[in-house]
Amino acid sequence: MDFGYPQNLSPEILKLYITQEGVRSPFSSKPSDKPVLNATLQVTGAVGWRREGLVYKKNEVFLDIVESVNLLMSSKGIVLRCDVTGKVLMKCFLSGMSDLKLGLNDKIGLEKESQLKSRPTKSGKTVELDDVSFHQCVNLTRFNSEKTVSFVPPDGKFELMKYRITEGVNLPFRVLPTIKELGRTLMEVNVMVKSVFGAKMFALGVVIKIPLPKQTAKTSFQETSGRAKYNAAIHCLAWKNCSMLYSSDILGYENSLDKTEPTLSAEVEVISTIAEKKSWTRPPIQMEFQVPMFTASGLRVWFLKVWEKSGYNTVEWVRYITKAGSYEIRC
Amino acid sequence: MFGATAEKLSKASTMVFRIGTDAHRYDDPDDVSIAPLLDNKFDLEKREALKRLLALIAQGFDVSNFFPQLIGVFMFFISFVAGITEGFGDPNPLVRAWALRTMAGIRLHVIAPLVLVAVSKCAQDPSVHVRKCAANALPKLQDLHQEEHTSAIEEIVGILLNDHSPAVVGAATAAFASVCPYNLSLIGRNYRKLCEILPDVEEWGQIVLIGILLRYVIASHGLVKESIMFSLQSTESSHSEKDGSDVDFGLVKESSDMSGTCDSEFVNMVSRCYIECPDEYLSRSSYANRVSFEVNGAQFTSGKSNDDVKSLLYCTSPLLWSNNSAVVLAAVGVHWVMAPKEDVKRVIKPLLFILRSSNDSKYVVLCNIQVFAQAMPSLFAPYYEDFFICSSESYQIKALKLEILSSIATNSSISSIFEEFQDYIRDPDRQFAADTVAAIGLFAQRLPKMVHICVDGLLALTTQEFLTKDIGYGDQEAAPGQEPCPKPCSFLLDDVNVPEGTHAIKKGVADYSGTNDHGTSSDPLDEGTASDYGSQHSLTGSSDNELFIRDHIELTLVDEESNRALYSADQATFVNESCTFTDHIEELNKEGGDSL
Repeated sequence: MDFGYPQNLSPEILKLYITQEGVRSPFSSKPSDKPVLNATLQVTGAVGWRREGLVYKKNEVFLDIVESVNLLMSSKGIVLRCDVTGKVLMKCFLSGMSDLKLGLNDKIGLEKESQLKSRPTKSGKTVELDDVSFHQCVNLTRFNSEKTVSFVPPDGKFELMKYRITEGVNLPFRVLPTIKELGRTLMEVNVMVKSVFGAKMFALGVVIKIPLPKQTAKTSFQETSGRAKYNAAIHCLAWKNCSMLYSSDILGYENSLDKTEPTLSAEVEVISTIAEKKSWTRPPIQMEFQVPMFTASGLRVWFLKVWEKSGYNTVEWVRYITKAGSYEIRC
Repeated sequence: MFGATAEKLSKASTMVFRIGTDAHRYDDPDDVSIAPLLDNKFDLEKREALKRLLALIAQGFDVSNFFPQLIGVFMFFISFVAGITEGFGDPNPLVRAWALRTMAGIRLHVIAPLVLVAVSKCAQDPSVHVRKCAANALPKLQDLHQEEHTSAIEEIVGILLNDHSPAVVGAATAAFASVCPYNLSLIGRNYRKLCEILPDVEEWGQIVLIGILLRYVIASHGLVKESIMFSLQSTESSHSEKDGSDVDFGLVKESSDMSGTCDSEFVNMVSRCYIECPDEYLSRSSYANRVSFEVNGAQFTSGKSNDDVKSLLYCTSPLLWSNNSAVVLAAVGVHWVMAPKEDVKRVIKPLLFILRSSNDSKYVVLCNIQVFAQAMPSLFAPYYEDFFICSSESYQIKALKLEILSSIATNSSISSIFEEFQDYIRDPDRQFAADTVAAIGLFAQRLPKMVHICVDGLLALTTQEFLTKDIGYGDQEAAPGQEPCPKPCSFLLDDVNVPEGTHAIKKGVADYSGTNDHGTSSDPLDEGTASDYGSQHSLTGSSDNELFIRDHIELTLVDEESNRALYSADQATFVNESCTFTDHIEELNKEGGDSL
């Protein structure tokens, strides 16, 4: 900060100011082999977020597309609210001042590109980005006119863009709950989970939280896979499946391994209270999961071009992961 | 005597926890002699001596006998400054920049001319970083308040604004905003260039630059004919306007108090508040104009033909995709003020995106949306679901969202909004639940066709236990707004134990009947007994008096159009009276709507 005016706001540069070891003065008596990293050098360039003179032996770029699926489903299986919020995270280890261009399969971008290059539109699934916002380094004027994402990346890890998609969302899981109240002391809960992503995919960390009344006394359950446990602190029955393979495809054909869908059936005993006026309003069932190499929206990276004046080769890695945001099913 | 107490004080001060501060130096003026300390070759001792001297000066003692020693210190200082000026010639741009920064940091009037020369030299430096430091040094110079340098400073600002590097322009706009914010001719010279460089400037600079460019356009061309601002000034009601800068919602609240009755006066006011900085406008009490760039009367221009307006809009539209919410808000502000009405809808989506994604700026964005929604609710009507409330939010955010919902609800969306309200009523925060009921009342006012839904909802609520005076307020709002529509007169059930509740109900009824009265005024009730109430309206029959006297009052709904049935309380004995009551009302209504 200088007289109240911020000088540099990019966290990548500010990180260089925070040192974990002591900073050695260049005029000290003991010469050291490692040169002192001068953070102020970064500020002098015309580009505030990337310093000049970077050198890497191996030039690599890692792209991570992380999506969060938010769902609210009614008790009858109708989707009330559904959207996907995503982030594109990048890790760049590139030498010099390189120029990058990212192409996604978003409808408007592809149409514009085929317009400009007078080529027919690429076939395949396209997504429509409802909202999007970019990191400071992206050239927004070019995005406005040509709908291409071009930028000079900061060094290291950074978030390139955030987006939101509401149409054409593939829900990775369908939960079919049935809750029956037999009398005032007994409840029967039956939950079936169907996974709807493609073959050869699996989900990690699948946890289904089924809320139970506060006066629950005893629970007994049978599950076909995973482990269920009643968590009295949050009044939920937590059913954990560490990894779940796909159990049935959308068309309903049986797969070759002949696995049935994971099911949990539980019997819950509830302490009856005489002063109970209202019936228990059932909070929705919540779900957590992570599905690697799958995007609920269908967003894909078409290309990532790297230009640098010395013209080196780069290796690009792309990884997709879909997580559960607020995935709720009313029961 | 003084010496003795001073000794005691100094001893006491060492015991008290003031080690590490300079406070002990103030205690004893005749303490350790300062002169040998000044002559000492160690810097530490010299510093100690200087601090003691300062303490003496602060207490008003004459320290001129120390002058010979202090000369040495001043010599050191001058050589220090000379060393800095040497730094200006260094080939390394870093050193030059730091030299300038240090010089500007010495806030002494004596060396101000030196600094000015240095700054003007550095403004032409080939290195970007040095020019940026020069721009940053300008406000520091201005802060010294030396009138003779002001014009020179402004000139340098003008030079730096013309720079081709975005980093320098960003710093120069910040300098402009603090040094000479009214000198819009400097902007006029470089307007095109500034618009084009806007997307490349770094984010904080973008925010300031957008504000300055907007002010310039309004000052030189006036408001745009096709924009929302123009249509606002031609309506009677006092809508509040949105200002061009990003997060200054303070201005919005201030100007919402002013009503725009006179056309040209309104536009003049709006234009003036854009030409001057919002802070200045707010703090000024009189309307004396000190603007050097005058606006003559009410000026309007056409957005379609004016190039300046078009280029500003074109250059700020990419910024709607920035990840900095302040930048997005500033860009939205420009479009709101300057863009033709049909184009304003493209800013809605980015605005809602920052509302969803950034928790910190939620309050500010909601304040702005509230203003927008009052001016043009149709823009936000399809997105009403984004304003549904989460229980984890703070009270202010919930209140804002409720207000926005009540402005943007339409006939089609009201049923789903009502369902949400069922949950809000159950909120443990009673104030919020009361606000929700008030919002229902506002719906009834705004959407006359939906009144029966609103009243149905209120009635449904009254049959539940946990309601109190909230209903009264809701009906108070609902009642005055309707003449030909169904007239709700609601009385609470026996669950009401809050005296203000019953009072509010009666007041609501009295007010309502007051509006329908022909000539007779109905005074608001004091802590009335029912008999007082009955006596004010002589047309009322005696059976009605008895009705009111009772503590248990039933619920009555009279619907002129559909003649709906009565909802009565537990006591069946009331039913008869209520029938007479209804008959009375119908009679009275037929007679021309007199009081009850």
